Amino acid sequence: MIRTGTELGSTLAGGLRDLGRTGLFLGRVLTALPASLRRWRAHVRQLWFIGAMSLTIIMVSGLFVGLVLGLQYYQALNQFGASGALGTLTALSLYRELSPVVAALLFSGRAGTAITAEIGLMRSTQQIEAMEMMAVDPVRHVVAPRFLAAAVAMPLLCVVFSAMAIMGAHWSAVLWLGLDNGIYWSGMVGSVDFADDLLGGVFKALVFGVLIGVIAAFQGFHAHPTGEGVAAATTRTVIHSAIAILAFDFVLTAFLM
Amino acid sequence: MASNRSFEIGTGLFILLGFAALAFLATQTTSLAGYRAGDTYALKARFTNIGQLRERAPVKLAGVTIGSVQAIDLDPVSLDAVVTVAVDRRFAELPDDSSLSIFTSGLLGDQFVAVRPGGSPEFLRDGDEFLLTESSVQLEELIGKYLIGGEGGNRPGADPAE
Amino acid sequence: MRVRGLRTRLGANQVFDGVDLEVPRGAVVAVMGPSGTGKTTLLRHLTGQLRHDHGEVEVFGQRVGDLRPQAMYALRRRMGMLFQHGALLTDLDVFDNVAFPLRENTDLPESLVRVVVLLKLQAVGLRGAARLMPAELSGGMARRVALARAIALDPELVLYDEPFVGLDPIAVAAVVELMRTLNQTLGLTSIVVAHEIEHLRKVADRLVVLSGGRVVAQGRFDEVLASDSPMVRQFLQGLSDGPVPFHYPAPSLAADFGLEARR
Repeated sequence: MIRTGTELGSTLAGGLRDLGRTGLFLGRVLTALPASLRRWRAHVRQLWFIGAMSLTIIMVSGLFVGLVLGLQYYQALNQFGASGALGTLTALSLYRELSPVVAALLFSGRAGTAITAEIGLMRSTQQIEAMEMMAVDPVRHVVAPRFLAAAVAMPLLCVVFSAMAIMGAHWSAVLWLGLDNGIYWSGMVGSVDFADDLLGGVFKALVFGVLIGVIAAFQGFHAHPTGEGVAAATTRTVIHSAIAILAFDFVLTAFLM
Repeated sequence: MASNRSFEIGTGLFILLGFAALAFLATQTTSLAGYRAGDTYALKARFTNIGQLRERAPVKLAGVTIGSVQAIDLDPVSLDAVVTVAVDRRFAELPDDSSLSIFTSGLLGDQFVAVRPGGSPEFLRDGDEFLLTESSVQLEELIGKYLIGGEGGNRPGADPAE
Repeated sequence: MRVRGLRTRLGANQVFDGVDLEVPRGAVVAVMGPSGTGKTTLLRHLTGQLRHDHGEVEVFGQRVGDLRPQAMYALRRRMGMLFQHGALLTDLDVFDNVAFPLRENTDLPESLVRVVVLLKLQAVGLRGAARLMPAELSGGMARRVALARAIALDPELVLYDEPFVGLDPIAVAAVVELMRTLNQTLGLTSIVVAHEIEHLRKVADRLVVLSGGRVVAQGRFDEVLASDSPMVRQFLQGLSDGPVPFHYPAPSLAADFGLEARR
C-alpha cells in the first residue's frame, strides 16, 4: 500500500510537472508562430496532412453517432409521446457536447499521435538538433505549422462531424422510424441558437484543437530519442489529450454555456 | 514539387467543406433559418403577461410561421409588456382587427405567438399595433384554478374570508 | 577554440572532470576515447546545445556559456556539423536539404541559392542526386549530402560526429578524401570525433584522447600515437583489459554466487 501510495504521488507530481512544462511550451510555440507564418506553404501542407486526412474517420464516426442518436432518442422520447423533440435534442446534444468532444478524441488518436510520432522521429534521427545547429529554431520550423494546423482543423472537423450526425439522425429517425420530416427540422430551427449552441460548440473545438496540438507537439519534441521513447510519448499524447479534453470541456461548459 | 499545388487545392477544398457544413447547419437547423433580414415589417402588441415568451420565438398564423418576435419591452407607464414582432412581407395583408395570443407548443414546449386573422377590409401596416391580444396561459395558474375550482365546486358555501 | 577546466554532470554521471584542450585555427583535431567518455557531449558544449557546469568554453574568442540565444545562433552560423547518421530532413529532397541553411539564414535570391547548392553538391560528387529524397540514399551518400549541407554557409569550423560509422570501405574512403580536400582548399578548422585510427591518421594533424572525464593525452597526432601512457596504449592497440577494466565494477564473483556467506 505504501509503495502504491508513493507511486501514485510520483505519478501525480510527474503529471503536474508535465502540465507546467506543456504550458511553458505553449508560450514558446505562440511566440514562434508569427514568424513561421511567412512560410505559409508549410502550414498548408500540415493542414492537409493533419486536417484533411482526418476527414474520413470524422465523417464515418459522425454518421454512426447520428444514426445511434436517432434510434435511442426515438425510443426514449416516444414513451412520453414527445418524439417531436427529437430534432431539438439531437441538435443540442451534438452541437454543445458530443461533436466537439467525440471529434476531439478521435482527432487526438488520428492526428495527435501522428504529430508526436513525426516530431519524435525527427528528434531521434537528430533532425531537430541539426536544425538548431543550422541556427534554425525547430519550434518555429517544425512545431508551429503542426500546432496551427491542429487548431484550425479541429473546428472545421467538428462542424463536419455535426453535419454528418444530423444527417445520420435524420436517416434513422425520419426515414426508418417514421418521424415526421417537418417536425425533425422545425424543432431545431425553433430552439437551437446559432451563436450560443452552434458557435459555442465550435469554440470548444478550437480550444480542444489548441490542447491537442500543444500536447502532441510537446510530447514529440521532448520524446526520449529512441524507439521506445517515441512509442511512450505517443501513448502519453493520447492519455494527456483525453484528460485535457474532458477537463476543459467541463470548465468551458460550466463557465461559458 | 509538382504535388505542392494539389496539396494546396485539397486543403482549400477541406476548408470549403468545413464552411459548407457550417452554412448547412446554420440555415437548416438553427434560429438563423427564420431570419429573412430586410423583407419584414414590424407590428406591436400589448400583453398583461407574456409568460416564458422569448425573443426570436416564432409567430404563426394557422400553424405556419410567418415571422418572429423581435423585441420584448415593458411600457413603464401602463406596465404592460410590449412585444414587437417582425412579419414577413409576403404576409402583408393581415386584417387590422386580427388578434394575437401566446401559446405553448405541446404541454411543455416553447412558447410562440399566434395570429388569429379578423375580417376587416383594412390591413395592418408597419408600426401598427394589434388591438386584441390574449395573454399567455400560465400552466401553474391553470392547474391551481382546476384544483381550487374542484374543491370550491364541492363546497359552494365555503368562503375565503373564513 | 579553447576549453578550460570543463566540468559537467549529466544526472548522476560526472561526464567531464576538468577537461583542458586547445584547437589552433586551421588544425584538424581528432578526438578519441572509450565509448561513454562524452566525446559527443564535448561537441554539444562547443555548439552551446548543452550547458556546462564549470570552467569555460571559448569558440572564436566568445565564451559559449555566456551567450544569449540570438548570439548563440549567430555563432552557429559560423559552424557546420556532420551528424552521426547525417540527420537529413526527411521531408525535403537532397537539393532542398542543402539549400535549407541558405534559405533560412540568408536573403540570397533563389537563382544564387541554386548556384551555391549545385556547387556544394558538385564538391561531394552528388550533383546528379539533387532531386532524390533522403530515404533513397545509401548511408555513404547521405553522409556526403550532410557534409555538403554542413559547409553550405562556408563555416570556419566543422564538427564531425562519428563520420565513418556504418559505412563500407569505399564510402569511408570518399568521406576521408572529402574531409582532406575541404581542409586543404578552404582552410577550415575541424574537430573529428571517431574511433578509426587508420582513417583519422589520413586527415588529422592533432589528436586528443579522452578517458574518465579527463584528457589523457593531446598533441601532434604521431607524437600521441608514440606516447607510452598505459591508457593510450590500451586504447590505441585495442586491448580488452588494462587501465580501462574489462569488468564493470562488481562485488567478487564468489559473493554474487553466495559462496562467501556459506563459509
